[in-house]
Amino acid sequence: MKINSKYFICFAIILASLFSGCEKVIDLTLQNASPAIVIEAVINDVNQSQTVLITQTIGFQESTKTVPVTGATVVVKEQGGVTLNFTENKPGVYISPIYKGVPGKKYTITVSSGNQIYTASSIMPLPVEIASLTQTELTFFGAKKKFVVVNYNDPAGVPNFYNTRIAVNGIKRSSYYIESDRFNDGKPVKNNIFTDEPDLVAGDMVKVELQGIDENVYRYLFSISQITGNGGPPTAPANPDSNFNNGALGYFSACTSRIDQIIIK
Amino acid sequence: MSNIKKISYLFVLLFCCFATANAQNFTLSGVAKDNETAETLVGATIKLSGNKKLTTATNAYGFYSINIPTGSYKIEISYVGYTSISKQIEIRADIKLDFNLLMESNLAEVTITSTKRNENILRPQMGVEKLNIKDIQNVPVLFGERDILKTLQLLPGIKSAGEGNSGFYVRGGAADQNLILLDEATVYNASHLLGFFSTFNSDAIKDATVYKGGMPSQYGGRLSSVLDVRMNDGNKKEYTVDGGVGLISSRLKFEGPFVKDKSSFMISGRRTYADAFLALAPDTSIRNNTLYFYDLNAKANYQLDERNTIYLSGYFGRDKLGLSNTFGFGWGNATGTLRWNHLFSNRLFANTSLIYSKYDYTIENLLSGSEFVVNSDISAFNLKQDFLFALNNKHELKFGFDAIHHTIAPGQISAPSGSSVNEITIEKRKGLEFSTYFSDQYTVSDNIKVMYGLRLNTFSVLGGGNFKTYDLAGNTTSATNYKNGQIVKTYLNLEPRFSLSFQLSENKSIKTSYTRNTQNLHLMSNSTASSPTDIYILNSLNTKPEIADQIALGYFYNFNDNNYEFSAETYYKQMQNQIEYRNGTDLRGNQNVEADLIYGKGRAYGLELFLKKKYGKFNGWIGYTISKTERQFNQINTANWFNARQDRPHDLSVVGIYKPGKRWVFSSTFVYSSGSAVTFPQGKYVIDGKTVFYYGTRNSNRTPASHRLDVSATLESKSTKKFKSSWNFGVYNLYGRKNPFSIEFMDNPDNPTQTQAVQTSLFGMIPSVTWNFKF
Repeated sequence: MKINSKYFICFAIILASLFSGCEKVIDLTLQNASPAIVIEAVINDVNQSQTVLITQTIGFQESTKTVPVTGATVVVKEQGGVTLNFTENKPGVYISPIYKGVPGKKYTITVSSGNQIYTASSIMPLPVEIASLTQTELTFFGAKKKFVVVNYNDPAGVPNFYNTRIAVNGIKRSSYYIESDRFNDGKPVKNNIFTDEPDLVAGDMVKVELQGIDENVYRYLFSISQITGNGGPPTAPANPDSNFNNGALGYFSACTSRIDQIIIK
Repeated sequence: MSNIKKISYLFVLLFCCFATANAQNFTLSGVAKDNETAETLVGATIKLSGNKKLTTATNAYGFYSINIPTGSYKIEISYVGYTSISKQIEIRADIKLDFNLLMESNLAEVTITSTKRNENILRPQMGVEKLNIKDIQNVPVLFGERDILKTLQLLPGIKSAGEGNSGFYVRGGAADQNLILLDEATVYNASHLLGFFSTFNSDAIKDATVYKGGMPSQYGGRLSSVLDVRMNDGNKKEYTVDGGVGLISSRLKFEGPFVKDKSSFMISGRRTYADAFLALAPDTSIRNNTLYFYDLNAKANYQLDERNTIYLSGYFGRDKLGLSNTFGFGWGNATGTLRWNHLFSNRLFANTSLIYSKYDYTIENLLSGSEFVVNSDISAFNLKQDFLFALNNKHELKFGFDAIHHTIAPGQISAPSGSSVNEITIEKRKGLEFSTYFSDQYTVSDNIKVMYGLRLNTFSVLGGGNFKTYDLAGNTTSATNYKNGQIVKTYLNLEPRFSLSFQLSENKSIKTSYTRNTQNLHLMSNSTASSPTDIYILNSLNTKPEIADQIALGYFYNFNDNNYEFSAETYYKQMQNQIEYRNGTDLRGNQNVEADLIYGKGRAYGLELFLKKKYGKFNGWIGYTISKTERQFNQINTANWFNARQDRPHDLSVVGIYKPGKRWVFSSTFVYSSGSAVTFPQGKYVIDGKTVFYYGTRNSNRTPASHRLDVSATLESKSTKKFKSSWNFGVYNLYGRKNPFSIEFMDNPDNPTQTQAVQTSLFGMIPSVTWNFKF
């Protein structure tokens, strides 16, 4: 479904260019909000050290990418199971002992930082395997472009949510590719991953991670992508609803992870 | 219910009063027409002086009726763009008097000084603007495509939804709160090609009236405004062909009599050819793309006898966008209206209308493996009965009813076998709306007139289907199945309407009004721009009728022998049951869309100043609005009031038209408006490697202001009796102002640690040329 809106915006841009419209960088005076905490916490079903990133918001004009939040306490509890205590191994990067998440379990995270406590919980969905990675070629206004297609069989009768992450020649592409099975429950799904700038070329090694995520995380990522026009014309911007309480930004995702790779022909 | 009873007693009482007051009177009635085409003239002013002073106007079918005591009178009829007629008459019995008015441009070389009119001072109606198609002919527009909706936006209190956009906001209301009627049929989506054109082909349109407040009680169904557009009836005297060839579209109209002076038809079409440019592209994949729209308007009427006339009119329009082998997208409106005008007597005029309207869209995804088609539509059948009764020289009564059956099919997804997409049908929703109304235009004294009325609206949500209720967090609290046709819930609203004018002198008056409007149909759009895929929902167990109460006060002043009109109107409006969305709401194919809706309230207030020069070689107007519109929702912005999206404090339009001689007309418009209320980032952070922006108070920022100067010149070619033609040259955005269409925030591609704001502008300077002809 998401492809439609992209075309829609394409048409608007074509119209604009036909009629001598233009894009330019403008100077705006923006207010600066006081810094807020951002927690990005993922527990997956791969046997590894799980990672929690804690940063804080910075001003729009500031040039650094992130500002770490140090000295926080991070604890993740598996429902009826183990408790993972995280240690800070780099500023703002908190890691757990080696641990493999269990699909179907509910996880609760507690982060204490600066006299504040933030909690969130997430249920790890049952895993969905990548059936195969294939490639396709589509023509956009005269330009032929190559894309990777992620093929998987959506389990019937349960709502499933996916987050696909891709890296091309080891460099992560910073777009969100989120899907729900609202329109293709129980079907073999062929999901085109629309990535460009730069376009994929023959010889590129594309690594794909298919994450099974819970609904709250899907909705969190969908809210962000909606602002930039995924899922229709852009919506009025607002901060997405986090599953963390106490005003923290970010999300806690207990997810499954499957990885595969393809070399573009 | 006891209120309704009281009010109906009041009505009965009033009728009794009228009946006794009605002795020794006779009726003067008739129709006003264009002398050349016999096209009826809507809203022509009729002024009586002599034994009694009285002013009235012809109705939507050109008919008027006045009940007056015996005596001798001077009657004067006037209509914009036509030469006034005045006559001396003796009323000794009922008289039928038709008027054939002569268009001013059809007169000899000498500029005729037509009688200056001051109906704007006299009538109690306020918050109204009427545009005759001749008024818009000379106003410069984008691509030279004359457009009644874009000309409307140049009036105070009416704001454009965006640059070059035919969508509009009236007095702080949203775009879906305008009732847009074409020959009484609702037009759900009045725009083409992402809003750059309206569905109203100027060739087919007779006139348009917009009510910003003080709506007469025969209108109902939307909160903010009523735009009543009427199609041409067709020339009753001779066959004519009109047309135009422009850069972006061409138009052709054919009209003429079936039976001379008795019945006529009009058929008019328009098509754009933006895709013709695509066809010139060397690449086949570009050539196979589609991008166009077309419109068809048709109307026919037949006068059965002196007392009965039948009208049949229809509209059909369609937009098509398509990318070869990947994607197709089409949408459009269709309307049909069958009307019967019947004169019970020369004092009681009746109109019965049977109306159908529909809007639908289709999306086709042709990508191999995930092919699907989405269909969605909204439609309504409507039976409307209106009576107009000229009771006596003090009271003009209007009453009637309106029954509408609404159906919404939010979405049906179909897919071929082998596609990864499931077939899904979202339940249809149906509703039955019934309204009955009464109004009286009452001349209290020579200088006080009131128009009061009441509209009773009921809306029944009809089954079948599964109807759910939700708690404040959006969780389902109950789900009930209803059988087809079963009433799920009924809402009842009383809408009082009142306006009063007090004439201070011959050329000055003050007016005040109070209006309540309700709305049972709500547009779902959480985007910053309107889209053809926006869908409607009806009232339900969760969504209640939207209600607006508006009070307005105005001062009206004509000077320099009615050459200039000045008005100042101020308003305050409160809105209840307004709709917003939770974050991350996906409106596409969503069965439980109501779980994501939140409800709040709105308020809007403003002052509108308008100065118009109506006559002479140089005419035009200046409109200025200062206004505020805000919303309040418990779940947004910590329950504080925030600016509505359409809030723009200052709005200025200047329109000038200069006719130095017979052949040239020069015109120019200048518009300025404050930036739109938007939310800019107040910080940033990173999620999964991508920069995400941190937002503060909703709509607390503004885009840069928009302004623009457009010019146009029209040259009438030397015409023969049989063939007339004209050239129109225009330049849109003469000084190439880059007005903001959107502002996006993103990483700087040259330095990923930096972020930047990028403004997109749609239109630079755009010249246009159009050739119009008529034979």
